[in-house]
Amino acid sequence: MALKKGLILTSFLCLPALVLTSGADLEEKMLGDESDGSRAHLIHLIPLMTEEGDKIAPDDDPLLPFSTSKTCGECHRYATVTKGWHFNAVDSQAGSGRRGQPWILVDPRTGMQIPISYRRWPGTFTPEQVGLTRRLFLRIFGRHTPGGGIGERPSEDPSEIMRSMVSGNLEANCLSCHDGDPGHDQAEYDAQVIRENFRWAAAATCSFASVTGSAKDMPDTYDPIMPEPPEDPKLVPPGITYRANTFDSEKRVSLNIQGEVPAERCYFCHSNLYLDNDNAEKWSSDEDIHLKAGLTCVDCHRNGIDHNIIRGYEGEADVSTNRLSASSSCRGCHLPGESSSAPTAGRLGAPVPEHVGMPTVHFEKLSCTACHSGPWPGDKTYLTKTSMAHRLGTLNVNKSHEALPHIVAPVFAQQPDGKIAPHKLIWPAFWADMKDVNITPIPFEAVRRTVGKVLAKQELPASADWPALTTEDIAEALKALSAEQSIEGKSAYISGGSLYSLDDSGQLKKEENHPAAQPYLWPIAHHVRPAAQSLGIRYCTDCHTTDAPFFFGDVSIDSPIVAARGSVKMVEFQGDIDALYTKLFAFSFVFRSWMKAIALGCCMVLASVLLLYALKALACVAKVLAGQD
Amino acid sequence: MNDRETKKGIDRRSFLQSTAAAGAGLAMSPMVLGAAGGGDDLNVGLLGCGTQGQVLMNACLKIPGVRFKAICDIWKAYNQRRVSGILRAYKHEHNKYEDYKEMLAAEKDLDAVIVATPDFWHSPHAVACLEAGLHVYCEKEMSNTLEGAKKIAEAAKKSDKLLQIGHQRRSNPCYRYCYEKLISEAKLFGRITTINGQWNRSKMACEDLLWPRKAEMDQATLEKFGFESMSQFRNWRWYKGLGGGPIVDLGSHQIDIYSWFLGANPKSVIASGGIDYWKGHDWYDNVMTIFEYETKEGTVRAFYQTLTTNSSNGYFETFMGDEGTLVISEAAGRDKVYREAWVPAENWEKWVKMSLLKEPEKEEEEKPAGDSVLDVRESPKSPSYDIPVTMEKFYHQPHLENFFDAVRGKAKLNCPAKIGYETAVTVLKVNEAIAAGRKLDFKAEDFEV
Repeated sequence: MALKKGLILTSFLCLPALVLTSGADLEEKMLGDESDGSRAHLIHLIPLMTEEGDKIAPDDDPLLPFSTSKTCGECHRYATVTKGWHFNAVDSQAGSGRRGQPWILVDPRTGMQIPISYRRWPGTFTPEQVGLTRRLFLRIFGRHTPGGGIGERPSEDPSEIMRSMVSGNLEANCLSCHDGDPGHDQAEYDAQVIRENFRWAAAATCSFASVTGSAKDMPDTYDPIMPEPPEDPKLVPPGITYRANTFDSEKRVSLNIQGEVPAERCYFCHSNLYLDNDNAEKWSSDEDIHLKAGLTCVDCHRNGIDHNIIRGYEGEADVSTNRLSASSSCRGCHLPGESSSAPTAGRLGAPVPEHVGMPTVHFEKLSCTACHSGPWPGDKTYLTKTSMAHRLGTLNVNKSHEALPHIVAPVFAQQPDGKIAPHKLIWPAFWADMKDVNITPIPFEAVRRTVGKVLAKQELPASADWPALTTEDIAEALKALSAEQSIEGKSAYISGGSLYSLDDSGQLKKEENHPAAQPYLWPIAHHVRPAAQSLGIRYCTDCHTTDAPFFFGDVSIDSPIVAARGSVKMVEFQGDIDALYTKLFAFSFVFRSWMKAIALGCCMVLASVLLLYALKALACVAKVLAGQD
Repeated sequence: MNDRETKKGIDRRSFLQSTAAAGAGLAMSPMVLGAAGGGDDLNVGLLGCGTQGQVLMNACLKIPGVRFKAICDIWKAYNQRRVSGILRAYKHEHNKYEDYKEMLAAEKDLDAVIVATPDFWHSPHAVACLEAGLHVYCEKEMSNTLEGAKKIAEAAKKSDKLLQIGHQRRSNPCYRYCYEKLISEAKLFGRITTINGQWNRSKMACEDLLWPRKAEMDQATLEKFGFESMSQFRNWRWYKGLGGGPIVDLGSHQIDIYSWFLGANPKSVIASGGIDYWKGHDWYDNVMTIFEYETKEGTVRAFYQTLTTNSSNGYFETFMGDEGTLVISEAAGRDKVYREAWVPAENWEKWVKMSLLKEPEKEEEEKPAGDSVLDVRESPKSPSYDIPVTMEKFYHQPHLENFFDAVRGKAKLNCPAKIGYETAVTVLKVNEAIAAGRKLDFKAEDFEV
């Protein structure tokens, strides 16, 4: 009996150990998961693998695209990699961190630009909320995703399950960042994603592969492994060819993999174009000073095999598991650490700023980026283009400045941490179902069907700008939407900070500054300007004048409704800062030079009087010492 | 006139309602996951998980109340695995079988089986399922032999269960509309004298099908189920004893429509064909045939061709009457009705007013090229009209809906054993006529089971 008890006890004691052991096995690192420390370039002469895990040979029939999960996954723990920041937006366990750039669903025809994100940042809607299925989301936005995440999530929409087998998964595209081949063409990724060639997309970016055909045109039952040609000879099934001599005699391929991602790879998704009148083209505007100084993006935005990349903002260390996150912000490199055993300032050649004469209140109220990042503020905000929002770098991009979505910058707005920082801003414009105070977007397809029909008469500018809508157009569209069966409440239109709806008599009603119509802002981090280009470099009046853009610049209000366009002062976005006080304070700088002169004069008079009395006192002392009365 | 117009108008609407009733609402509804259940739910087995099985399964997944409970395919490593994966994604819990006998022995709560195996297996499979007390949807051709087709028809006769043959155009709303409204009711085309049809496929579309080497079936399994090799298994349609060649695979669908629209079976057939292009096949890779029909209104000659080297004009059927022409195809957007130019436009205006036809297209006047002028012997171009019915579903969906509705007692089968058999008799005779090299006659008793 005692023996039996002992066995049970031993079993219980061993159980956690067994669990731990199996857990440890799961986390066992693969060959490429950990560097041996060499900084030399690593050669990747490896076989390409299909998604089924088969080695690809040049004489395969049919030739299949290589799978990154299987090819790269041979040596790198793919499941770990794809938990990283770039892939984990759909992971409910992953933190959303600081607000970032959303995807923006745009449809000029229906007057729509709506920020969406799987990360549930306040002010954004999830793709499902706007009626985007996985397939639609990928078709529209997959171009600037690195794959993985939603691209690999099984479709739960019954009408898309079979389609997803035709298109395959949009796997994490390791090559979009790590391919050092100058022939790498990330624009091909977009071309393939539009054709729903998801499983072919990563391979298509390589210089040694080319993809033809379109999975979108194939029937639900099309099987790429056993392809049956379509009845219609005009429809071309998706297919891949590998350039001659791609494979060596052992069916291996040489991939020029860069462990440290080159900046031009980052730029495909993270380019910004600030359309101020003087610098509206790439050649006329300066690049980030860090890159000009010789750094690359990944010098600051670092990660290990977990791809938990540092975003690089203050406070990130509170939510990030990346141990370098605290030391990789602006302060981390440029300012001395308070508790580090070793000096941190000056890393990577970062100059330590003196901020001579700068009142400390600035460090309490402003982020570093407020003075050092983004475009130099003008009297009005600029339209801004980004890769993700405007498909920069892909084929057939509309290069007009007015092309939607309309993002404006820089907007000096208060962050949740209370500090003012430069932001990009978008005014959401969408059709909504209003039930009491709840506002939910009407699904995209329903809007296109109903509103698109009503507004079809409006001419769409070739510039991809808004059509010139009137309030009558809005009223007409709202009436049409009211008949839409899927709408449970009252139809509404949100745009330019206002909510439009029909009153009981059918007249259009406008509610300004409606909470559901507030703009969505996200912080600007780049381009960082050099110290000599920082706000304040020319004296306090860079910001403290009565018309300084920092406080009193105009933030454009954007709307397809022509009459609703206008502007609002920057200070409106700066939390509890009082506009009148700020103006008066700024006004004080007009007299500050006089005040200094007067103060100096007073000081001199005072000093003269004091000197006179001091001399007199000295004379008295001398007399006393001389024995005179 | 007004009364008639109103009646016709109602008829057309009611036609649309009746043909779409089961499906229209369903077309709007999304595909249904297996978890959804209801009193009318049917448990279905899929026998044959190849491409055609998958096409039928995909259409079934759009139909509420159809739940796959069992699948059977001899190619476990590929077809069975793939279909099982799809059904799992749709949350249809199912069992997998290699041998249909095992499936029929083990599955006791099936209501129906869909047979989508190679033609030579249709007869044993359909007969066994009917004898097991199951309703059967059997792909066409009913069998590759008349004996096999007859066995199915006899089994269906003996059984109290339903048998639908997969001539899916019989349930296609466009075809039904043309037959019921334009031909039978309005007699729009006058006396139909000639039919022309074709299914031409490009060389690309007719290359031999391949298979993943790692999923190859072993020789013993292949032989057990009647195949000499993996290649023969994948390309069974080309081999005698297994399939019937392109005239049976493709022509059967369209020749079935000839007989349906004429309301008659042919009295003779003459045909030519050969193995002229592809190597290593048993069956003719091009066939041209002429059927002769005797209808109440007189003789009708019906030409049909199928090519496997050129896709010119794809596939369609043309019914030519002395007053007009109907061009119809399962392929979307090809349906057209033409009025013979001598027929006054006013005669057809009433059909447009009654919405039986859509307004004729306004075509730009064609100018003669160069100095050429219209020859007095040339007929002027016929004005064209559209039909007001479209097919918005997967091709096979309405036919499957008709089958499941019939199983539920809510509809009559559109293609029962008798029709399937008659078509098999008609089509299989083409290959016979080519081999004989002469005209062959049909006897009335040929079409009787």
